[in-house]
Amino acid sequence: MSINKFIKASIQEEDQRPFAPSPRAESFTDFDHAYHSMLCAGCSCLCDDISYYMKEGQVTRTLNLCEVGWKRLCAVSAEDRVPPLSPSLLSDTVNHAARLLQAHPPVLVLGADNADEAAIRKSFDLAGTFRGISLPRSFSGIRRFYERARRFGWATALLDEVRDRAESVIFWRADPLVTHHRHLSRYSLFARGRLTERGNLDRNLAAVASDETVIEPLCQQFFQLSPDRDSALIEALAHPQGASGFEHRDLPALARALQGSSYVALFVDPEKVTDETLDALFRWSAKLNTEGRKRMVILPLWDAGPNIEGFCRVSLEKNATPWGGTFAEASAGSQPEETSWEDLAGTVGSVILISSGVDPSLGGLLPESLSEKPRVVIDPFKRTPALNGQVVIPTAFPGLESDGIFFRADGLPFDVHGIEVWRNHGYPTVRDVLADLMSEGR
Amino acid sequence: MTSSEKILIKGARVYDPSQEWRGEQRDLYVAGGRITEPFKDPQHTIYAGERPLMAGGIDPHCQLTGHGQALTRMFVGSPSPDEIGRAYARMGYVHVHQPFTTLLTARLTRHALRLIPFVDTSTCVSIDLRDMGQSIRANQPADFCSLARALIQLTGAVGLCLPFPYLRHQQRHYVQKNLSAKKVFSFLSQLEEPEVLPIHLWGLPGLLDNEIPNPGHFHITGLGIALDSDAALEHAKQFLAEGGTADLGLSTGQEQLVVSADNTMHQASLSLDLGLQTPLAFQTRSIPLDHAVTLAGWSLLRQVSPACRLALGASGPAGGQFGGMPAVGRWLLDPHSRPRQLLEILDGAPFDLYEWARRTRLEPARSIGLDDMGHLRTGARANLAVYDMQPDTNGEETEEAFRDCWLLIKDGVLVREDGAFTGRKPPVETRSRKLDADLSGLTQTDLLQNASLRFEHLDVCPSAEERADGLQQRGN
Repeated sequence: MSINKFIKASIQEEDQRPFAPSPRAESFTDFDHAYHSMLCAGCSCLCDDISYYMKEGQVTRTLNLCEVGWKRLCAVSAEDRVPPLSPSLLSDTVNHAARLLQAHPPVLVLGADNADEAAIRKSFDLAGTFRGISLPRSFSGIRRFYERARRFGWATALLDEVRDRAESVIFWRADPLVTHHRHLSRYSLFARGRLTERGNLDRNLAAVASDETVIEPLCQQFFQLSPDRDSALIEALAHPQGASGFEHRDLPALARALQGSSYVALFVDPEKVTDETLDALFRWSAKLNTEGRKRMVILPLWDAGPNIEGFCRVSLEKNATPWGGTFAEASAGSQPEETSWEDLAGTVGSVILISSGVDPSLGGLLPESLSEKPRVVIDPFKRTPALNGQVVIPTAFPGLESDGIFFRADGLPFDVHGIEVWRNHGYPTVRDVLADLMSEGR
Repeated sequence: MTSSEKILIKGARVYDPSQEWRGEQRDLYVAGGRITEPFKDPQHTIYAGERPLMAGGIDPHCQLTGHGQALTRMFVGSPSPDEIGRAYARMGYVHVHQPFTTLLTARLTRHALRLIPFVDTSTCVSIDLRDMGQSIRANQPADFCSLARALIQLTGAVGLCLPFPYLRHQQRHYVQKNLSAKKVFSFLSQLEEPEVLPIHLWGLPGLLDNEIPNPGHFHITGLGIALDSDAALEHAKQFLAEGGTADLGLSTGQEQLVVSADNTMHQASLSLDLGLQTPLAFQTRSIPLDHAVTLAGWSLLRQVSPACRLALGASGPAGGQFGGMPAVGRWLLDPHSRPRQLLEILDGAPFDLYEWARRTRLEPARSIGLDDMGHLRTGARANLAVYDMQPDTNGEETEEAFRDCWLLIKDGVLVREDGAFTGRKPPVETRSRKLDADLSGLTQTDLLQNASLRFEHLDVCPSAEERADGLQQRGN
């Protein structure tokens, strides 16, 4: 399918779909406030060209907001959102939560990658106070990825460099049209760069996935493979002249495209590939870069919280590892020895869950092995049966109701500002709640 | 915010080359965070006991603090921001300069710099010839200066840095945009806008193979790595003798982080595309004492005249040697403790604390443009360090004295006393050059024509600084 056909089909599909939940029906003229060049913290693309048109505190129209951002926006004014707690109730709830955490040490702070940088820092401080650990939901993938980066060496780039230079782009078990909707238009496929002046016409796009994916129609080459065949494909691409035994309709075309590219950008979701595949990808990149004829950069595309890069940076600063840290003796941080949720379940006594809110069901947020642990839930988007019986502390949406620093997928920090008229919604920030829990915990 | 405490330091041997103070005993007065005229009612009197006192140290070339800092920590075990700030304060330093940032990484660099406690920081913004080459090709100095001023203002830098003095495109259809080093240097040497001068050149191997006309317009940062041949050493001496300025890091042979411009990746290293024409490679490497680059650096220091504007960096030739400066001080000041590789090179070198103060305080401050630092004149910021040394101190004791300063006052705040931290954190800031530039010209550059970043989000706005300051306060 050509790109034009894909776009036409997408529009038709959108027209047939029921309307997305909207805080207010869209209007092109009916607004009293307009906010332009706002940043969206819905994912780590951190799109910075968002416009909001508001009337009486409700959004009447947006520009450039993708589906992820739109859902987040709708959640702010959702009728079933947990209302802000009164100051006295908030104090009582925090007190109750702190006692619960004290009674069940050590504490796992899970999901700080959904919050801003200040909250991430506080999550590590709090983990120290309760002799616990702070981890992102995707910590095992992060660990596996960075361990290999360290072992094989790592060539990577700013997204702006990908936009400027990449002549071949490969999405390896990562689908930006599911997790980072505007990635293709802002950075990787359609974006026109300094040396890719015609955007997608100057680029080759390939993808590897287990099933049919949304991105498939846009790809020049698409490999629908089971994960155990990844290594064979990489071997065939790394040594196109050799007899690898791997055969696929699109292999010759991708090999030719890579041969003709001086700059290749590979986006991978490390949680969706095996250790062997990660090894092979890093080896392939190291081989190409060491030869010096062309450059191949690897960028992780996490299906994780929007500030996962911020989490990695803060964790590196505090623990010298990007995947979080343990505080065994409430002193200096170190890296967690546990490598799976099952291991962690045997270690931790309780959980502070900072939820992303896009999927409010606890099953989607908390690993099965931790589901029986006493928990404190921060930042629920809306009431769900799953939250019954839990200590729930609703907080402001960073970047919509409060300000904060978020890191883009390539590690650049940005100040994400809340919408002025939504700052007085009465919700505390995640950072404030963690700070209160910490002082109560002392 | 500076301390309002009034402090009197009595009986120190004071070294300040800006006033020709060569270790005479003097009393120094500090009030409102500044060096002041004498007053009669000090709130705190410190008896220095004839120990040497000088302005707080300034490191003009530290690669540990910038764009790749967070990631290099994982790869090569570089220190955390807190460890960096603490180590510098221990050595009596008050300011650290990151040699350059790109337009794209300006926010990241400033963000990283702000996390460092105890010391002020600064950086230069790099000139990307892909963006600004048009002015050079068309020989339009006014346009170039206008863009340069805008870049400095937008990124909150203290000046300009040219990492690569040439532009080489690999793609055939862009070769007409290429620029030779000769053309670039020739163009830059005719600039007359004092606000963009001097232009910092990154000390890459091969830099000194080029003729650099009008050296007074340039500062070579990280000169040590550029001394890769005998000819380069001679060119460096000539450059300095003709009015150029430079900072030089000296290797002590220990393993260090080396940041280089390298298209070819080395095993198990970090290679980043950060918005320059060549990727930056980060790797740890030992530069042994008998390495040609090491020997050339020490030779240069020995051979240049005292009048040459050469600063001494604290982070080694590549800017990534952590904690080597005390050994450098020991070897320079105590001839008997020098390693055998340096004995001949430094033989008869007239190096004393006065020279040390000039090379590690006054000259670095001048090269970065910090008028109120690096000296002890009345009105200067009250940044001063006292070392636990007497005239007969030598050997290991000298090194220990430089590693753990006896007293450090930063902006009037007593940070170290009696060789230990007081627990007080001084105010820190990321210095910038205040300009009133027209930013609109920037939108015409190649970079912002196709940017995925919006212009306003590249700006280092005050609210971000305030928030980061708040963060740091909380972190404290």
